[in-house]
Amino acid sequence: MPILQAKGLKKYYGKEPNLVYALNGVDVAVEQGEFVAVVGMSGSGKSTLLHMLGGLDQPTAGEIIVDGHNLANMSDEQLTIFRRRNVGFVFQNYNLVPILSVYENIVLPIELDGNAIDKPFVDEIIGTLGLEQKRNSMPNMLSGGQQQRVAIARALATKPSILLADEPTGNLDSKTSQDVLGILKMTSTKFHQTMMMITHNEQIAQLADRVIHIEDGKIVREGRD
Amino acid sequence: MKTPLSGITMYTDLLWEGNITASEQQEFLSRMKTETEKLQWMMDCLIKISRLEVGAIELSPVPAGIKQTISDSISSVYSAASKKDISIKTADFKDISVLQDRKWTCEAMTNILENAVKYSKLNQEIDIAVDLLPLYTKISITDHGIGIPPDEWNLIFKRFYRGRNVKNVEGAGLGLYLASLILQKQGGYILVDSKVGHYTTFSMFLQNCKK
Repeated sequence: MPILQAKGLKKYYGKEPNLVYALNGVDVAVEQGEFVAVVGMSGSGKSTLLHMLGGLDQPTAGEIIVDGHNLANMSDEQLTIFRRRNVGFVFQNYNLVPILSVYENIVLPIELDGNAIDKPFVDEIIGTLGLEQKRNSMPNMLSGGQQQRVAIARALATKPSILLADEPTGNLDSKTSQDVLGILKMTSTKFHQTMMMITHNEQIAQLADRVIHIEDGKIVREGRD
Repeated sequence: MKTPLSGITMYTDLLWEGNITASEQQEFLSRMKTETEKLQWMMDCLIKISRLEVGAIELSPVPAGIKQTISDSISSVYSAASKKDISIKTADFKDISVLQDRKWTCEAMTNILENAVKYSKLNQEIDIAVDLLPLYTKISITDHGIGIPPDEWNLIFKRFYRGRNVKNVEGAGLGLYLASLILQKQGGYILVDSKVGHYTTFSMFLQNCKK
């Protein structure tokens, strides 16, 4: 039973005759623990797909099931709670809270949900991501790569069903990108995390277990073992 | 496995039939030896892969300098490289201590270097460079051979996969998969970058020792 499943996903914007088909019938299934990359050019629909799967937006048609939850019929409030508890996000521009320290940023989603912090687990994540010396630093004192590592730690801390990364190395230079990419792969294996990453860059996608190519809102190619 | 085995079978049959000259006999025996060695290599590879995959072998990464590992790997491929007049140049760098099981890391690196030699033309150069990144150390091995198209970058690390443009070159499609598995078991990974007809760079990433 896949942990993430989308069937006949469609997302249209606008009205006839100017209808934009951002997603035009997409079927995706991701198994637990898989690291999947979705590759496509600008405007291919990859970001839209990620937003659908993460419950950030509702599809025009089709079904999305994440770890047994059917997203299609959820209200905004239900989706917010669903996201907080089940999805970890890593964005291109890190999206850290500037007035909170590294540690506070990492545990924020846990605290927002009113849950107890699993201290040993959070310490392990901080250690794995090489952030021990930066626990009390503010985001503006960190390099781009370090900020992205904090974002990854934050995404992992809630032990989400799926981790979604939107061009996670887009704002980083090539060496830092390769470093962060390795971290994404390594943490997904170490913490048995299911991960989906979208990118326009084949260089980045190559580390995934499976690469899905998307064009004009449709999946055109899927590389399998 | 089939190609070396069918070669050995054919030569055995020819030798059995007789009616061959002494020099033909030498030739066939020599070819049989080569095919047997290839089979041996494939068997060893497959056994290592199986054992690593099920955890029957555990790697023991410890802090160790990367210079020695690189030097050992180069020695392993030196004679194959010399036969093609290929020179292997390592850019200067200060030794870095990384988390590695040296024997296995060396094996992975040797596989990559062997590929670099195999897919380079005569008289070419293979360049090795080392970069220290925040969490990893990157060891890049660049050849100036045929190159690999981007749509194959994810596939070449898969078991038994052979690139479209190397169908005429000997290979089992196991070396890269084993190398990638070895790196993963040490918390590392391999990336490829290439321009068809110009160069291919395989970069091996190993974890830096915690300070």
